[in-house]
Amino acid sequence: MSLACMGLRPRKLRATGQRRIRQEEIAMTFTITDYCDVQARAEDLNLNRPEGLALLPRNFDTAAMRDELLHESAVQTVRLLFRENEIPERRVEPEGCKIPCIQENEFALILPTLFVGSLLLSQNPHLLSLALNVIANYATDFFKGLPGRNKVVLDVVVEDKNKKLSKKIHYDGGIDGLKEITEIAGKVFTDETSH
Amino acid sequence: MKHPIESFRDHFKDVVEEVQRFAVFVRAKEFQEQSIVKLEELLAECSQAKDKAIAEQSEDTANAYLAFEFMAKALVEEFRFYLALKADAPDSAWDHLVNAESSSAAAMKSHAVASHLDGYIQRLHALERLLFPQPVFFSSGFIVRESECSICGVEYGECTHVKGRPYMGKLCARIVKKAELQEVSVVSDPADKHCRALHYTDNGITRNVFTQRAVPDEDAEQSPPAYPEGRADAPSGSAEA
Repeated sequence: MSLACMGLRPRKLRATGQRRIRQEEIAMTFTITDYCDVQARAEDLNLNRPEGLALLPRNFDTAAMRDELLHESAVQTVRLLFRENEIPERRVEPEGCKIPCIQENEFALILPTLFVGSLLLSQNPHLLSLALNVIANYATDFFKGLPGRNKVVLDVVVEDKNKKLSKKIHYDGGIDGLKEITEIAGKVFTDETSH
Repeated sequence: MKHPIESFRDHFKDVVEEVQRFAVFVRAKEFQEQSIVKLEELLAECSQAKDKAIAEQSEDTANAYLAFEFMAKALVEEFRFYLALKADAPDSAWDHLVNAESSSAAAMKSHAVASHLDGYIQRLHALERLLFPQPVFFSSGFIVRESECSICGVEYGECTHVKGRPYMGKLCARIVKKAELQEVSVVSDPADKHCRALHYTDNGITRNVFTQRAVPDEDAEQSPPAYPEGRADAPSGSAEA
């Protein structure tokens, strides 16, 4: 077989009613759970209140103090991509505050938690689609030349219109499943039992 | 008139086709050694052409030559893998095979001239699964406090360079400058396949995980059992399992 041989193409995704999808042995799962009061939590940790789109540290809901916060290591890359694509992001870190990153070298692309404010979801939902599309394109490049590997982990926190309740959509699966998150986020407070 | 990249691609293809008939385990080792020499000459040509493209500030061309460089490196590593196996040096063979896989992946990230390598990479992965027992891999977790961009030296994330993308003949990487080790875990699917158990201890004798030969204590570093569940003979399996 030569360097010029043609490669295998990934199989097309097929969804089932139970929202379990397989792509080259990678199961896709969406898990929705209650999350903390994001605004109150940001205040407790002396962070900027998130609005619109924001990237939350992985332990935002559990850290006892700001010094304990840790971002996923992909956070800087996602920020770069958002800037490149003119996707506005509200930084939770106040000016001069730097949150370190945790880098784990197991082979999955663990993305930073994406916060979606209530107004953004009702007034500008295409921005979430755009952000997820940018992330999906990055993930495609990330896994280039790594056959059989395309596992992505992403948490999306969606805030309700009163800014008191929030839900976390935990996604674990192949790249193609990322695009389903916009629809799930739009229904998370109205159609909780469907997922 | 042909674009210089197209002319170079034709030349590259000719050399690769000439050596590739020896990229099979059973071919004579002198032919495989000669193939490495030819590929190293080709690699030098790639680097020279890349330097010229960089001097002319032709980014796409420089990135294409970068992809050719990685493809030539992958093939050199593949030949070294066969030679190491023949020399009864499976640890070295493993490293060359993993280098061939990562060079191929880097070629694909560098430029579209290498977009056809899926099948080649699948073949390398098949060799890995067929010829080696499933290694025990390790993955380390770090808290990164400072890192910089390999392209411009600015703090990573504050510039416009994205890790894994090519810029003027170089792939961007994030260089960690200050970090704290958090943990080391045993994993089945590591980011770095070089990070694996080398020895295990059985009835007080330290053995190489691939050859199972006893290893003198002074050569053996402390390492956990390669097959913690007593799977001493694992003949197949995949790092991706």
